[in-house]
Amino acid sequence: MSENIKTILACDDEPHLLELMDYIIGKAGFKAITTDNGIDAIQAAHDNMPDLILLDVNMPGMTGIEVCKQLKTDDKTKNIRILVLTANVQASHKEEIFEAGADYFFPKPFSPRELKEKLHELLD
Amino acid sequence: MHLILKKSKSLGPLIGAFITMAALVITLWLINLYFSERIYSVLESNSDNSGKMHIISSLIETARKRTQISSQLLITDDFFERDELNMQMMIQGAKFARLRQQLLDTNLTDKEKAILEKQGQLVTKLLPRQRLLGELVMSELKEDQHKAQEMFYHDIVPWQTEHMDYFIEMGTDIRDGTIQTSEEVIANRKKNVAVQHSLVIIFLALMLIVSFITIKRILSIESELTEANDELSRLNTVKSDFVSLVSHELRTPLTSIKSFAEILMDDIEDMDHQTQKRYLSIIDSESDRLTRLVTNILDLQKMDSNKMTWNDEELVLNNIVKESIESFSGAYESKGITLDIASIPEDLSVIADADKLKQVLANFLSNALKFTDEGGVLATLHQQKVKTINGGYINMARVAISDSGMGIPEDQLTKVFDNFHQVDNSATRKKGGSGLGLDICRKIVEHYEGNIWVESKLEKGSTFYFEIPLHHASKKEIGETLVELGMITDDQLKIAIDKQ
Repeated sequence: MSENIKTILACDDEPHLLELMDYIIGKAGFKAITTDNGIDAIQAAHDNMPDLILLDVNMPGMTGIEVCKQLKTDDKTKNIRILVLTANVQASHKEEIFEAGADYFFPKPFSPRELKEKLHELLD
Repeated sequence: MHLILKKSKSLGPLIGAFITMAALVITLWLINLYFSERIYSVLESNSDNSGKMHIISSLIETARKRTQISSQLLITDDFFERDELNMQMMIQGAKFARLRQQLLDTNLTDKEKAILEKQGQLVTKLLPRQRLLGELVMSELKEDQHKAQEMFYHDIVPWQTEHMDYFIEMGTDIRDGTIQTSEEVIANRKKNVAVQHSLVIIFLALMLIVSFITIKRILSIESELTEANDELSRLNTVKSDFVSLVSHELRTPLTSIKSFAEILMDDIEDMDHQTQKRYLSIIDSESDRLTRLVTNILDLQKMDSNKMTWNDEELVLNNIVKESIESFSGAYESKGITLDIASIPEDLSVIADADKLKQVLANFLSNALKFTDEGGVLATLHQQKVKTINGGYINMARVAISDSGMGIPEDQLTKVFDNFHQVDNSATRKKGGSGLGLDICRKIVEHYEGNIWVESKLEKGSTFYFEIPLHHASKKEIGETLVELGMITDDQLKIAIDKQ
């Protein structure tokens, strides 16, 4: 494994979806870090400084929006790009996501092929 | 719908006000008509009276002239002048007779008629005297002249005075009557005005009441509308929340199913057998989750629209609990959690749909299994006397499922039975519930007029309860069972019923 393999942090409270993202990231040739809640995601972002964060919105405890806001207001993590995955595709919700500082938006349900392409597009 | 309601309700008082106003206008018109009639009749009689007065004053004038001419006749020596005066006397006599006839033709009162009759008698006496006077004054004889003077002063002047007195009496009476009738006119006018004023006041009071009622009504309709609007917007929010939750809850398993199927299609050659199996099992379990979700949504919809079929029958709740526990024993065993049933003292009979009660128990047992990582789950069943709202007591069959799981925070205890509610804890999400199961349980238990609740201590565990009314067999039913069992005869049962 070469030193410059890019790292992606994935955060989703649904275990199967987390497993799926883990697989897709690995398949795309990147290193995956997974967490099932927002608090762990912020900690992992600080610890690992990933190149991209895949973030679910609808999570109990801390929502993806709150995680996004916190990371984007923290000088250390504000430059990490965030791709938000959500099942809610309403325009108002999309606006809220971008207001929170998210860089990209990806609707659920998604195709693993498309997500893989998106990861390559953003990181290659 | 609410707008139509508003219209129909507010039209009532308006129509009422319109009818009241129309009734008032008609009444005022009728009252005016009534008083006008009275005033007109009085005025008419006044106009009759003025006609009579005119004739009477002419009569008095004529009589006065005649007396004047008579006195001139007596003092003049000129024959021609006497002849001329005599002629004037006759003219005035004719005029008097004409006027008297005119007076007789008017609408006379009884008193006036009586006076005229007396006056007529006087005329009968007076006429021959006057004729004789005319002859005497025309005579050249001094003796006749003297006789004429005597007759004039003794008979004619007093009679003519009496004559005039009759007419003066009549005139005075008529004048008094006119004054009286004028007073009547004024009184009638005053009455008319008074009655009309009181009616207007009554009408204004009525209008005030009607306006007050209308305003009150409008205000109450407004508040009803506001309430209805609030309820509608609340329902709308509930509906849109439900739709967005359903869409989220549907998309989550769908994402897993679709994605893992795609991965298997694309990468199956690169995968070992175990990974393939693992991904297929995810597809399988997410499909189950989707099926459960759809079934639950349909169940809730059926219950909300009263389309659920309830196959109620007499059941022994103990058996239902036992069967449910047996069906879960495998799942519990494989997770290493014990599942026990506490000793049950007696059979608890209820009237319910067995499948629905099993659905409640399955929800309780699967939740207990999901949230318990170590320890055990215990089912207990007993009879409980419960106080009703109206102060009485009712016997309930109560089931409790206690786990040694993570517990539920106190502020969430009542919310767990709501739509799509999941205790706000990432651990719950991991367990993959839709949050609809307990809502359905609540609706089933409430259908049987029972109660459902949870008691919990964080990190210690939760106990989910439900209770439904106990069914007491009637004495007749017990008797029939005894006959069926051959313990008593049919005749013995009949005698027992008759005795009661």
